[in-house]
Amino acid sequence: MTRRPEQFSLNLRPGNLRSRDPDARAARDFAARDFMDGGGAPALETGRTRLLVAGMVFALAFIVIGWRLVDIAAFSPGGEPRIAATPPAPAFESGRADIVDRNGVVLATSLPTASLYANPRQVRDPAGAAARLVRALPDLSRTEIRAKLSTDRGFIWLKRNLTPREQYRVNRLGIPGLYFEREERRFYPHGRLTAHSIGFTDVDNKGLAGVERSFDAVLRGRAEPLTLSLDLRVQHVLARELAAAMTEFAAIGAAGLVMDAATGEVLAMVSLPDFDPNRPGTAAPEARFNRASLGLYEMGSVFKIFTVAMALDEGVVTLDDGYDASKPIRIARFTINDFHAKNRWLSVPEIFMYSSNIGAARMAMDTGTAVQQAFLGRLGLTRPADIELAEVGRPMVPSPWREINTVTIAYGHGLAVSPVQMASAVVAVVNGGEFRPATLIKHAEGERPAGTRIMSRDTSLKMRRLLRLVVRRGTGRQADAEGYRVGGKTGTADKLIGGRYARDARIASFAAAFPINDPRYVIFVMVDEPKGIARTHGYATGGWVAAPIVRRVVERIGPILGVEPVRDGAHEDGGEELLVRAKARASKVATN
Amino acid sequence: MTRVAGLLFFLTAAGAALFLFYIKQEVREMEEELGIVHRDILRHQEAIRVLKTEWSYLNQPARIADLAARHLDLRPLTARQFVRLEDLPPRGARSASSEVPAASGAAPTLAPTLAPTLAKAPAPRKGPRKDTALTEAGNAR
Repeated sequence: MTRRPEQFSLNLRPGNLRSRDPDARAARDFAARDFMDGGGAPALETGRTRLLVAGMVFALAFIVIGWRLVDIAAFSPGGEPRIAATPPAPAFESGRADIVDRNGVVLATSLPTASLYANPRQVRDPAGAAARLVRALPDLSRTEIRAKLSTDRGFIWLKRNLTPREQYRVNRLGIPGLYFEREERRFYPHGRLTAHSIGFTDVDNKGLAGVERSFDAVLRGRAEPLTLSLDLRVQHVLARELAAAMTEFAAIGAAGLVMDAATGEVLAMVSLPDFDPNRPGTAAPEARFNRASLGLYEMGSVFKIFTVAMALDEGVVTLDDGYDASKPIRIARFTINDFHAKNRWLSVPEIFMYSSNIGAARMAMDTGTAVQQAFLGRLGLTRPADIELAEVGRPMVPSPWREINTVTIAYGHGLAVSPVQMASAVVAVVNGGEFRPATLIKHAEGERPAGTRIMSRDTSLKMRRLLRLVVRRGTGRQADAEGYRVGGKTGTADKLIGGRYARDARIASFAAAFPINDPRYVIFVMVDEPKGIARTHGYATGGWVAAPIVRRVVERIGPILGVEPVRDGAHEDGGEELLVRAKARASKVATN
Repeated sequence: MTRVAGLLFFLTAAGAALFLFYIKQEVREMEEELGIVHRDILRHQEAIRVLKTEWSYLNQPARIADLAARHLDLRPLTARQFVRLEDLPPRGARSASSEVPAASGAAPTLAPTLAPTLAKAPAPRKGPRKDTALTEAGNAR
């Protein structure tokens, strides 16, 4: 017994288990027996119970899992899709939606560009690298690049916004230490042509002008392009003709619009001089100024369209009435004269045709100030245009509106409006008498927004005949396009410079609609400060400067827009009837 | 018995593990492929965008007008070039009206021979018959 402790201690060593020493084995057996006899049985019991509990727990777990398996396999209601969903293909995401014209031509887009930077520490041969780099990117200065690559910095920009071709060329050089950073840049493929209506963005692609500005949030928030009402072809024709006239008459600027007479959509909006929206920073403020929507001008005689329409619609005059235009009107300290003076009694069609200031002034005086104010207000001439641009001029409305204002506004002085306002008002006069706000956003095919009635349909039809008369026999003869019946009105306004009307600085304009028997398009053009030339016998009036622009524009866009030309020799109401009736009345007046 | 069952279980487990491994590998490869395809799609979409812009740029109306003026013998369309369909002379009207004596001789003989042919004969015969008739008419002229 005295060896036991020793045996026990030996027993703890694993090597002893294989001991062949009989003494040791006997002692071990003894020890085991001793262990079982003395308090060993309860421990075994505990072990068994524990095993049972554990076994039951496991069995339960397996039963649950098994049941769940059966449940899924056999009783599942089929909530799981049979075919795994394919992750959707990624769409190219740009931070800003495209802008396209009504035919889907891209006008503004965001292009991924690569900007080239260098880690000068990794450039082993700065001089050689600079020489090769300048060959690939000729607009970089070699000495500058060399200086940049020789610095001891970890990062330096070499060139921002490379074109894909430039990037390819740089990549091909394989100069170590040069890297590209992906950036996005707004690009305007048509540059100057749509500069004023589209506008431009800053370096962070935030809209600063034009549609880019007014639709900034919309463009940011969506992927599909924004479709404008502009038609690039029409825009081009209008821009080209205006530019040609500007050069010919040495004008300082020009503006023009083509609008859809039925919907108020703007098909073309031109303001000259223009600028390159891809480099807005280099443009002069004068060039960035949108004359078509922001510029305010006293339009001159084109306003007689509204004066006559108003007088006819209010029933103040009929087409057979007229006024004595032989003597100038003296009102306040003004004397109102006629430019194309006839010095006799003139019928309403004649007043319109010869653009008599005296006649228009008398008509407006008979109609009254309040009516004129309300009428011009309904035509949208006394509030800023509704067009979706931030650059919209607030018309210069006389306040208070006295009788003298009524008289001068009758022939287009004393109320300065923008060309957009002018064009939308003409749209309302010729389309049957309904005003629709001008818009740069394309309407869905066939959709015609609700308009507000300005005048009776009958008055509108009469105005069409009068407008045609001006082109057939009056001041607008040079607007008579071949194959298309154009109706319109000339305007020549002396410019207000330093509070005085300048004699030699004027706005020559022409407001037209075609085909006049059922107008589809309204054109308004104006040339700022044209100078008379030999061909026009020194004249720089609306009839000599602006009317031919309209003729050429109509002849070009008529076929493009699918307007059916009139046949040669087709019957036309040339307004003779109007004049014959007027003449009969005139002789009656003369004999009385 | 237990040994066989154990072996069976072991083999099944091993098979399942292998199969799982194989499927997993397959899926990973396919996912990689999908990633490549997606990257390609993005690249192509970007390229399309750039090309569309370039197309728009190259189609600047002023540029096209200049190119057309230099290389083509075309002029802008004028209103005079439009003709209404009803203003066109009816087909064949010209020869009929200008060759009144000859046509009057040919017409009666043409009509009876052609009418039954067109009504009865199958399609292939129609062609040659018509041709001869026309050449006859042409000769008569």
